[in-house]
Amino acid sequence: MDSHNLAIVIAPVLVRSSSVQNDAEICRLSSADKGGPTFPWSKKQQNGTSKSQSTLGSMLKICIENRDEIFGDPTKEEEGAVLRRSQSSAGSSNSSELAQTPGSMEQSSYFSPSKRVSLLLSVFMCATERDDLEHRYYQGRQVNAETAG
Amino acid sequence: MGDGSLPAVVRDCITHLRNKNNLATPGIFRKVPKMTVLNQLHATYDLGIPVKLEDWPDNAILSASLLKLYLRTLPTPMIPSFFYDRIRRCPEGREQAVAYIRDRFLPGLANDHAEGEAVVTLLAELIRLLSSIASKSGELSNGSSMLRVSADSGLQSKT
Repeated sequence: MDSHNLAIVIAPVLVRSSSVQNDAEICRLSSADKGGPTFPWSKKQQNGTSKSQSTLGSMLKICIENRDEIFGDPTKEEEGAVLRRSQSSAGSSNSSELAQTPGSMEQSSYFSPSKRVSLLLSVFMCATERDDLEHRYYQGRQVNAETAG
Repeated sequence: MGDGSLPAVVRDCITHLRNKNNLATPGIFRKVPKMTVLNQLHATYDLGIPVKLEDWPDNAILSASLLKLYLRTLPTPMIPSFFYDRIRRCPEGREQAVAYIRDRFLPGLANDHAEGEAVVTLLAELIRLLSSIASKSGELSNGSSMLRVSADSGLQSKT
């Protein structure tokens, strides 16, 4: 996926307001931004506004294409330094780091305690189901090997 | 995240996507995995249970979708609506836009967002990942173009 397509799919994930229309407008990234064809209706729309305004989509595209200039050169700052710092801190802490870190970023748990129990059960059921499938698969392979032999 | 580290789910997804050839997966952020599997994985992280993403089928697409799901369900979105005007004020032209984002938009985001610096750290890691995917995609498309060009040059019709 190139920077244009990545900006299109990621921009809507980063915004959320009371107006879906505002969100859609701020995420917009036209094919003209990619150097693609412009359609008569989009040209008309652009002429209707006094000035073409920047959008989150176009900003993201610029960020992706000029990563080093905006967020620092990875050769100087070591690419993914934060990631490695996170990994080392994960090594020292337990797996529920998500719940320990402060701020609302970690409060994305949208499941009630009662639903958590049922989800936990479903996760274990899924794992058991997978084990069962794996077991059947290996059994099948053994039978095939025996018949081939 | 307050100490500059990333949440476990983000860290795992980014690390997994950077592994092996996952960056080159076509349509990695566009394709949609099975929602039941995605919700189960989300719930597993929510419960603090360690997850091995590589054990799951279509794990590259699953990781990308899990990352998107995490970002989408943040209590405060990464870009709240009061930043929309600042986005619209971004100047045209590459150099001016880069300077505006680096010197005004990102410091403003760190100052005025409820999460402060943490949101810029998360955004930086996300952009680094996207940039790696884009450059991988560029390499591949250049490769396929080269292949097409060399294939054309190899064609010799008798008619």
